[in-house]
Amino acid sequence: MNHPLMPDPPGVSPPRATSNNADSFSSSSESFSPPFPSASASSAASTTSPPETTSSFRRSIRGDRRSWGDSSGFDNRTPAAALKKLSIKDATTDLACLKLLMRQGSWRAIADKVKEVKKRSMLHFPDEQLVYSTYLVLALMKLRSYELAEDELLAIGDLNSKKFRFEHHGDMYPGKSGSMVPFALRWLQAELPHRLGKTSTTIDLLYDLLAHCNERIDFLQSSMEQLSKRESESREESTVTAEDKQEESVSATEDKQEEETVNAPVEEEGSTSPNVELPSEEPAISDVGSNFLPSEVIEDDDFGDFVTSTVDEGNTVYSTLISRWRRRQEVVLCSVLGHHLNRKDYMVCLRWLEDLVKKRPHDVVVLSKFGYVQLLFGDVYGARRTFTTVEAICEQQGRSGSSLMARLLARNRGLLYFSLKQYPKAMKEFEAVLELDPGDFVAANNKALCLMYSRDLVTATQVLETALQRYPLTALNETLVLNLCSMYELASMNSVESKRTLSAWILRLAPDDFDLTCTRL
Amino acid sequence: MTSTPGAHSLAFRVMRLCRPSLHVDLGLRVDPVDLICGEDDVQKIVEIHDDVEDVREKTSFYRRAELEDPVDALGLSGILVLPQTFGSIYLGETFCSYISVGNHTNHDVRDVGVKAELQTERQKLILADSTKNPLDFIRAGGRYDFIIEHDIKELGAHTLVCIAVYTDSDNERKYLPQYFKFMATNPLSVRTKVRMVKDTTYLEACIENNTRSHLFLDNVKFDPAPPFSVKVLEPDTETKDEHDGLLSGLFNQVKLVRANGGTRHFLYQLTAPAAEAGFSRVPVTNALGKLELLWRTTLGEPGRLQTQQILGNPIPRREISLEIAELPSRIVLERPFLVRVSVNNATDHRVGPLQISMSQDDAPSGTKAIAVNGLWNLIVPQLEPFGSTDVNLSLVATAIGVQKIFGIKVVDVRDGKTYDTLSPVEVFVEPE
Repeated sequence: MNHPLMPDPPGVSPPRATSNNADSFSSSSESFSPPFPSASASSAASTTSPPETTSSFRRSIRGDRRSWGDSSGFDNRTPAAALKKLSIKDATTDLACLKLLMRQGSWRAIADKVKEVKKRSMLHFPDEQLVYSTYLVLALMKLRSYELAEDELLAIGDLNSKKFRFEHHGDMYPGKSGSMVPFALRWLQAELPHRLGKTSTTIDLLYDLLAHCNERIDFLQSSMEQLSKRESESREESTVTAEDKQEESVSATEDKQEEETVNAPVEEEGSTSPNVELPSEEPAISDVGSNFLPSEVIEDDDFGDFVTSTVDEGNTVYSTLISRWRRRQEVVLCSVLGHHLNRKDYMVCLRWLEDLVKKRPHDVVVLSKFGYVQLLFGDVYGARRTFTTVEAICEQQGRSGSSLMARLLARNRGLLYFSLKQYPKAMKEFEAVLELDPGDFVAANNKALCLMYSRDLVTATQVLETALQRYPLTALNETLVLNLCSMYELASMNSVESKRTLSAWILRLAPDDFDLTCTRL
Repeated sequence: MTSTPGAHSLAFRVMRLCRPSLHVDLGLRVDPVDLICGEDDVQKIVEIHDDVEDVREKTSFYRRAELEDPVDALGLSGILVLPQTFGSIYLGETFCSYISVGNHTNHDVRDVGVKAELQTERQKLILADSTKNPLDFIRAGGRYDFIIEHDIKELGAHTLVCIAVYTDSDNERKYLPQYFKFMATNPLSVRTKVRMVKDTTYLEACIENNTRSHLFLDNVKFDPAPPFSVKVLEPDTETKDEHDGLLSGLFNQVKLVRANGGTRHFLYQLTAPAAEAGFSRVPVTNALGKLELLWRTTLGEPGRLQTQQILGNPIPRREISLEIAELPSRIVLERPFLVRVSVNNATDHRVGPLQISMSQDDAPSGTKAIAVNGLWNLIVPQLEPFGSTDVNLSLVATAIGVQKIFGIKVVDVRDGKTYDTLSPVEVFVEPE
């Protein structure tokens, strides 16, 4: 059944329940007579209700609806329109429709659509079939129907079989060769056992997948080397075939691609740099995409005929693929490290991250994650050294001014102060992040925890409630909701009611994959 | 006092406030390019790459399913999550708790005094007390919150007692106690081994983690008892710091003790300053010092413990002892030789008179080969405190080969108590 993503239409009051406090999250009012002043009112709190009223939430729903209409630094379109469910006929193609449904989180719709499309046997191309199957597996896993996902994967069969290669299907894919399996499908197949309770299997499969990525990268790089070797041997005229037209149309974008892949990363996060190898078993060739001379026809088993008129195009093809595989390699590595963290294998994580940091000494995001792992097992002073280094690198690169960096640095500092129990300082840092980006739910959540640890439970809950109401698209996060429900339980004997109200509110807005067990109901 | 019967307007809510943890989010997020085209389909990859680079619709939940940066797959966004269970409490940690007393009725209560105590087997500690300055009132639906902290210094059962005394709306003075029990256990076991090599004492300490979580050893220090000075013996950590500049010094050895029985060993070298002449080299007490441990768990939650005095080897040092000071380099059959024996007084009072003699009992393996030549016993009239003196014993060997000198002992003349017997010394007797 599809859950319509509709907010409350204006004028209609929120759904009623029996008691008067139905619309409030917290059934106890925040009126109280503390012997000491509570922590400073948070800047994110939408309203401060006078002590006599029963609930702040009902008030703030109405107040906020007005502010949703104004363009508060969020978006011009009101969330009402944005959250409206896409109707299928709006999409130009089935795939575009699936993509939009995925963004909305309408996984049930996706599963239904894929089944419908398959039933109608509209898919003639095996690679298309695979894409739809991948969507289905992803949807099933998102909906936590893990056994069904397992069945679907079994039905697809062995991903390494010949039938999933382009060249196996002869004239259907002229000139294409290689595997048509979407990489996400391999990754999902590796991730599934963990959700069925077999985490060790997932870790093993992910390491296998990592090795697979390494092999592909090495192969591509050695092919590229052969390419350069060949054309340095002979400078003959290259043959032109019908492929060229296709290549040319692609080459414009490919050239741009090459520029992106070859230069050192200057983008703000400073993440993927193709000039850097991630740990691989065999020694890899480090030089990517530099001087290559024109070549002739290249033939190899995996790629079939990439015929190019200039070797630059051949190399951009390789570069594109290599950078893509490098990105995949990093995703797989980070996934397996995530599982290690979940099992508290901190030393393994640290070693891999150390490796990653050494290869990308200017990547402050990775270095910050290293610091987070240090915080996780208690090395507070080690984390402080790491965060200081992050700031130094930012300074050195002149990136401290960018909003993204400023937020990262402030979040790091906030976490550090929190570990040292310096809650006012921690809160200042998180508030600074919220100034720059009020939708940053990590900062909002952490700020709420600062408040709670400073004895101000009520403001803490307000901060979280406001974050949810104002920025549901980012704040609807299971951890944030879990924290809020824990706070409700501490705040009152009668927390079940608040949690039920919250739950109902979430159900109306949340995507299909939202896990309501976080409400601890 | 027991709780006032009947319904209470107030109720306590208590939550342990150990540090929160960083949440690891293993959600399923994919890169859209990897979803919609084959992994080797270059052309499509390039086409779509441009497409995806467009400004993502800010009005969707795309972040729940789409990876923006590969490192996001790690799942460590930095979001903190509150402790979901009470967990275990260990000796050396700090117990911190949020206490909230709430009025869940729709009438006010007046003159509210709140107290929090911690009861253990040995004592009762008051952690917070506002009974002298009671609150004027707690409104209907209102609350009074406070946070208590206490270092756990005892093992065993602990009870947190939260007490509220208040005047209810019916003008009745009511008393509400609530009890929260928990156990404090020992997080670590420390085992030590002491070895003496010549004048140096080596202390090996093994620290075992009995908890269910990994412990990060922030600082392990040995506090030596005077007159010892201590030096830590550890393997040379890789000083080859390949990173110059910013990354240097970041990746050091991490002292992490694994949960459920993980161990770490430490080796300390203890040296006492050289003994002055006339003074016994052995310190009066056997105490070597204390081991102090500072550890941390999630987000730096600290714990601190110190061992009791670690004692050195319990070699009973005799009050009065014998030592061979000098043996001749050659001992020839049937030629008398002198053995100089030194008598030491390790006590702090005068001793004497002492008799040094060689017992006349035969050896277990037959007659004694080395016998006293001359006086059977020698008298040492007096020995000063911590003093020593030398006597010369004249002995003669009656058989060749490897022989033992044994049976030499020092005895108190007055009470016949044997203080020390020289352990057998092997010598080689040459023929003439």
